Amino acid sequence: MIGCDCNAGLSNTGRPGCVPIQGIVSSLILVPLKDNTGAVNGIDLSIALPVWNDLINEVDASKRWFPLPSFENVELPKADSQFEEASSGRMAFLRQGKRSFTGELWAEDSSPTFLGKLQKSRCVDFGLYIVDVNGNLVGSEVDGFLYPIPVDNPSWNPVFMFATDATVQKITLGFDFERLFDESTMYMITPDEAGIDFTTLSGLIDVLFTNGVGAGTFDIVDFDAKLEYGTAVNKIVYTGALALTDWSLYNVTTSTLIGNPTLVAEGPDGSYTLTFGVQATGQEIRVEVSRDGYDGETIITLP
Amino acid sequence: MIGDIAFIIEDLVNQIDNTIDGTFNAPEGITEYCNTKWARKGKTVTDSSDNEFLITAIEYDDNITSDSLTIPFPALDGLTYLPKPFFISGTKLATNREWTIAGKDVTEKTPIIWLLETIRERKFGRESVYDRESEVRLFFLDETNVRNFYTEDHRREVVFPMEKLINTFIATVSDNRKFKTIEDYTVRTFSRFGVEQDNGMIKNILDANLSGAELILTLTKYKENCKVC
Repeated sequence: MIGCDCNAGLSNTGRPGCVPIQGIVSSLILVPLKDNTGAVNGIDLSIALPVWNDLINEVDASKRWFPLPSFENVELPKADSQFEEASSGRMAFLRQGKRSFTGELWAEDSSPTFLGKLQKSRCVDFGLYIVDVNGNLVGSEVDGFLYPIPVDNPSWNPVFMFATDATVQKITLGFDFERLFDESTMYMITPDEAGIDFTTLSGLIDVLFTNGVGAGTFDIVDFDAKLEYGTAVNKIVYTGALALTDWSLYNVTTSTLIGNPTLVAEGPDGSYTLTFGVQATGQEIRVEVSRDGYDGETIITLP
Repeated sequence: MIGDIAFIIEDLVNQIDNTIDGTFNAPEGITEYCNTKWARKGKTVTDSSDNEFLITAIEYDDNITSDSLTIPFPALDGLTYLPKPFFISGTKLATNREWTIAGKDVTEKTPIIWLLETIRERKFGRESVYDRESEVRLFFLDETNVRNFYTEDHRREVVFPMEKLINTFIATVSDNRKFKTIEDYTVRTFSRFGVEQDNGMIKNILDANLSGAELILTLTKYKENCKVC
C-alpha cells in the first residue's frame, strides 16, 4: 500500500488536451532487472535515447533486451483489492490486487523449441517493457529512468497447446506482475521519439555448433552451424555468415583476443571454415557468432 | 499518412516486400528459391546491382530460369526484385480511365492491386480501441495471353502468382500490428477478368486482358496516438 502524503490535499485533476494513451498490448520485451555488476537496467531519459538494435545485440546477456513475438488475445486482469471489513460495515484498505497477464503466441511463434526458451525465464529476476500495437514502449518511469516493469518470475507459466479442429497450435503465456509495482509510474516512449516502431524488434536466434575441428597449421577451424529450429532430422542450417565481421575468435588457452577471421568460407550450406593468424598446437579457440540477430559460441581445440 | 482507407491500403501495398532470395545453380543454369512469391514467366526482374532478367521458365517455389538483359549477361543470383504492384482505387469506370492513362506499357503497370469503390466502413467511438472496420474488395490482376492460353494456362501462369501476391499482402497486414489479426478472408479466382454472365466473361472491365483473383476481407485498424499540436 502506498502511504498518504499528509502535507497535501487532493491532487489537481486538470489535464492537457493530448495525453498519449496505450493501445492494445502487442508484445513484451524481457529485460533482466539488474546486470552482472548489480546495476539496475533502465533507459536513462536525461541523455540521448539508446540505439535500440544495440540493446538487442548486446554481448552481455545480463544487459540484453529479449523481445517476444506478437501476442494474440491478450488480457491483463487485475484482482480485487483487499479490505478488512468490520462488523459495522466499515472497510479499511489493505492492499491492491495483483495484475496478471495472459496472451497467446500463435502459429510459427508457438514451436516447442520456443516454449523451452520461455520456460527458462522463470529462473531469472526480470522485468518487461510492454509494446502496444502502435509501437509504443511502456515502462516504469522513476527518477529520470524508464525501467522494465518487474515480473513475479515464479508465476511465469508458458503452456504449449496442441492444435484442434477449431484452434491453431499455440503457447499460452501467463504471469503476474510484481505485487508492489506502482502502475501510476507507467510512461511510454513513442515510435516518433524513439525513431523505431518497437513492434519491429525481434530477439536473437541461437546458433548451435557441431563437428568442430582444428585444421591447417594451427590457423583454421572447421565446424557446422545450425539453428535449434527445424525438424528432428533436418535442423535449419545457419547460412550466409560470410562477412569477416560475422565471426569473432578468442584464444582461451592464452586469454588473447584473435579478432575477426582473415578468411571465411562456407560449403555446403552451414559448414564453415575460418582462417586466422597462426596459433599453437593444442590451444583452445573460442568461436563466437558476432552477426546481428544471432548468438552462439563454441570452443575448438587445435590439433 | 492520410486517414482515408484508400491511402491506408496504398500504404500497405507499398510495404509489400517484393524481394526473393535465390542461389544460382550453375550446372543446371537455374536460380533456386524457397518462395517465388508472384514471379511468373515472361516478367522482368532485377538483381541488387539493377541488372535486368527476363524469366523464361519457372517452377513455383523452387527455381527460376532467366535470360540476362544486361551486358555482360551476369547470372541471376542473390536478392531478386519482383515488379512492385501498381496500386489503384476507384470505381470501374474511373479506374479504367486512370489505369489506361497511367502509361502505355502494360508491364510497367502490372501486377495491379485495385481497391474497388464504394467502400463500406464502420467507425468507432472513444470507448473503443478500434478506429475503423473496412469491408474491402481488392483485385489482384496481371496480364494474360488470351490468344494462346487455355484455361489451365491462365490459372497456372497468372491466377496462381496472383494468389501468391494475395498471400504476401495478407502477410504484410499480419506483420503490421496497427491492424487486428486477420482470421479469415475470401478469395475468388478467375481465369479471365471481365464482365461476368452465365456463359462466362464477356467483356473486359479494364482495357487489357487480365487474370487474377479477388480478395474480400474486413480490415480492422486500431486507433493511433494523438498528436500534440
